[in-house]
Amino acid sequence: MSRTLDVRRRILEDNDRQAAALRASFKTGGTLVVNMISSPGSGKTALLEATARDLAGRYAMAALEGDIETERDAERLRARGLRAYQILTGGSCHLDARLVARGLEDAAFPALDILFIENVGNLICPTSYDLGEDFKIALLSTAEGDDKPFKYPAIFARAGAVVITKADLGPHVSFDMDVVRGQIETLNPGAPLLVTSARTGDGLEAWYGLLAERLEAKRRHRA
Amino acid sequence: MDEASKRTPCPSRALSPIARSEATAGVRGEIDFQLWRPKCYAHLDGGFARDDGGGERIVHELGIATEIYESCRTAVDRSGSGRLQSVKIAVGELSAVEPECLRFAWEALVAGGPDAGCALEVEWRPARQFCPQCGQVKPRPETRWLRLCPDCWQPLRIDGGDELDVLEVSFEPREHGPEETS
Repeated sequence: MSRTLDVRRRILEDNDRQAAALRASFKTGGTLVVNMISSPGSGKTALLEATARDLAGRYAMAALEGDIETERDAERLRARGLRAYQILTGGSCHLDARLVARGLEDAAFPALDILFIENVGNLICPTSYDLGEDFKIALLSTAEGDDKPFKYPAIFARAGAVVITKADLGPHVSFDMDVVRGQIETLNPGAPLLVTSARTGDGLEAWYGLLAERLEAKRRHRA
Repeated sequence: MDEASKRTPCPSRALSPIARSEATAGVRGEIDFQLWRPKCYAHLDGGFARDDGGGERIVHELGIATEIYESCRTAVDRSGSGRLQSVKIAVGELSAVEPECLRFAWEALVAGGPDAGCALEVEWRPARQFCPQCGQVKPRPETRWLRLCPDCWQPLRIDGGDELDVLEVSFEPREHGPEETS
C-alpha cells in the first residue's frame, strides 16, 4: 500500500548550502556583503551611485547587479567608477546563491572591503534566498507609500537595516515617517532605520556610518 | 516501464533547452508558463561572455515547486521508488511564498508526468509574537500585528514564520505497479 517518508528538509537547502560556502569565503576575505532588496525604482542604484562617489577613496568596493534584462545599472555604476558586474536573470524574479557565485567567478573582483548585491527589484521573492550576505537592507522610497512594511512584512522583518529613500519627495506624497517607524518597530524591533535622499545627500552619512560600523564589526570577529 | 519510472527527471528539466527558454511550456495546454534560462554577461574587461551552462532559472513559486519535487523524488527513489501521491510541506507567513501560487505551480509541474495528480498539502505556519518581558506568546489576529504587548506594553519579538520545509511524502511503492490502483 501507500508508504510515507519523513523528509524534513529545507526546501531551499541547496541554495542555503551554496550561500554558506559564499559566506565562508567572504569571511576569509574580510568582505562585508550587503544584499539590497526593494521594489523596482526605489533608488537602490542611486544610493550606490552616491556611495561610490563619496566612499571611493575609503574602501575597495564592487557591486553585483541583478536585473531581468539590460546592462543599465552596471553601466551607471561604472560611470561612477565602481566595479560592477551585471547578472541578467532572464525572467527570474530574484537572485539565488548559485547566480551570485557564478557572477563573482566571472567578475573576478580584486580583494574587497564591501560588496553590494543589488537584487532584482522585487519586495517579495528575493527575501527567500540567502546569498551569503552579512545583512539584507530593505529600501523603501517615500513615493511607494508609508503602508508598505505591513504589506510586505517578510522583508521588513528580516532586514538588518531599513533605508528610506527619496526623503526629499516625502512632503509631496504625504509620506508619514512615524507610521513607517511604528511598523518597523513592530516587525523588526531595534533594526536601524535610516532616512536618506541620494539627491540632496540627506542621511547619507548615517548610511556610510552603518557600513563602517558593520565592516569594523566583521573584521573584529575575524581577528 | 518500471525502468522509466525509476529515475524520472523533474518534468521541467525534461524539457529541451529550447522549449525551456523560448516557448515552453505549459506543461499542459491551458497553462502558459515560461521557464527561462540564465544569461550572465561579463563586460568588466570589455569582453562579452555568455554563460548559460547551468540549469534553469525560473519564476519564484515554480522554482520552489521544482525544489520540492526533486527532494521528494530523490527521497522516494532512495526507498525503492514509486509514484508520488501526496507531499506535505510547511510554509511560514514570512517565507515570502504564497501557497496558492505554489499550488498552481505544483499542479502545472506534475501534470502530464508520472506523478500527475500528486497533491501538495500546505501547512501554513503563522509568525508568532512573544513578549520578552513576560515571556508569553501573544495571540494576534490573522495577518495583523500587535504593536505592543497588551499586558506589559513592551515591544514584541517575532518568532518563527520563516518555515519553508518539505515535511513528508506519501507514495505508492513500485512493487504494486503504477497502473494497478489508478
